[in-house]
Amino acid sequence: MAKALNESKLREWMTRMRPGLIALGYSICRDQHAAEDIAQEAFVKLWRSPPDAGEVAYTSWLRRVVTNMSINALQRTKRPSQLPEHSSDAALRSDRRPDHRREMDEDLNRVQAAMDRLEDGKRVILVLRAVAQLSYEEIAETLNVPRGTVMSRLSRAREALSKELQLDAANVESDSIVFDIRKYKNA
Amino acid sequence: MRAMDCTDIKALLSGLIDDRLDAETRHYAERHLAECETCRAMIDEAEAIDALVLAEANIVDDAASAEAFEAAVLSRTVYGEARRPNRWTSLAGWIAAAAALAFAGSIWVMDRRPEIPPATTVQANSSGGAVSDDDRQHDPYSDNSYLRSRVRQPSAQPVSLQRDESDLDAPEYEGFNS
Repeated sequence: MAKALNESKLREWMTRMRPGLIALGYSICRDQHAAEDIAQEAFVKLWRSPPDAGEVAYTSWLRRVVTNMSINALQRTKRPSQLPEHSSDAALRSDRRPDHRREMDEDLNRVQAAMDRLEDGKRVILVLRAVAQLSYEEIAETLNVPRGTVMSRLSRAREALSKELQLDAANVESDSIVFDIRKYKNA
Repeated sequence: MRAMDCTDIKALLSGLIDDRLDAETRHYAERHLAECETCRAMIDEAEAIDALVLAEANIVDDAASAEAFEAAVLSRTVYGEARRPNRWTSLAGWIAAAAALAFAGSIWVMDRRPEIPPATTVQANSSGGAVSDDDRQHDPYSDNSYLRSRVRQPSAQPVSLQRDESDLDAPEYEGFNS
């Protein structure tokens, strides 16, 4: 049987999907090195046993693999509340970017801190919907919960993150979190 | 369906954002949203949360490690497989080696196997009757040539089994009878 992937195709898929997959893994397990390892492993799995449906299924298949592996990684290791690398990475990012980007980075650092404080279950379901862009059915299957539970859990997770951000905004005397949302939608 | 209030909208928040409501429910929800600024703000905020989560995910800066990432994957896939022998090829090699060994073993066993000795003279056929000329005709060993060849020929000086009376004499050792 002919191999479904060759080297150039694999490179193409890595170029296309690597950043998003690392971001997805990071959002769940909160560890960039672990997220990179997980994304690598996903591509190795794709090479060895690609989905039967062919290339049309690669995107969702890779996201599912990374999601499941990241959840497993999260369950295996109790993450620290704030990884030291976060602050140094954020500082580096902030230093080498223009002012308007630096302002966004500062906002995102607040979101990052709020996400770190969020319960694992709430953060994971938010990420599955907003980053992995899984359907409610796929989220239910991934988390092994009834489909009807997904909607209520998502609502609670959004509400919880909103409260964390409002709490943070109150601490830095900022406006409501809605103030800077539109620039992220256009970013 | 009755008109909706803010509590209904809050319960349906995710369904509204993710477009998971049926047409009728959505219609009533939108009627309430058209009149309620608080609920519109709530929807805006929830949508904003998703945008923020996505934006936060994308701040991971991995541009510097892109080449290392690809190299690591390729070494375990494209280049790794070229070096690694195919599992089935390897298995076929083992099977061929085992077959060759078994063949050589069978040749060796066949070589060491003695010729089938001819049966002793058949005096009765399989039905217990006397051997007929016809039986002998089909019996390859009926001439007893093998047996004759195996009969020990008498030696030139046959061993005498006659007792030598001197053997019974008591041994004479020096000092024994003294």
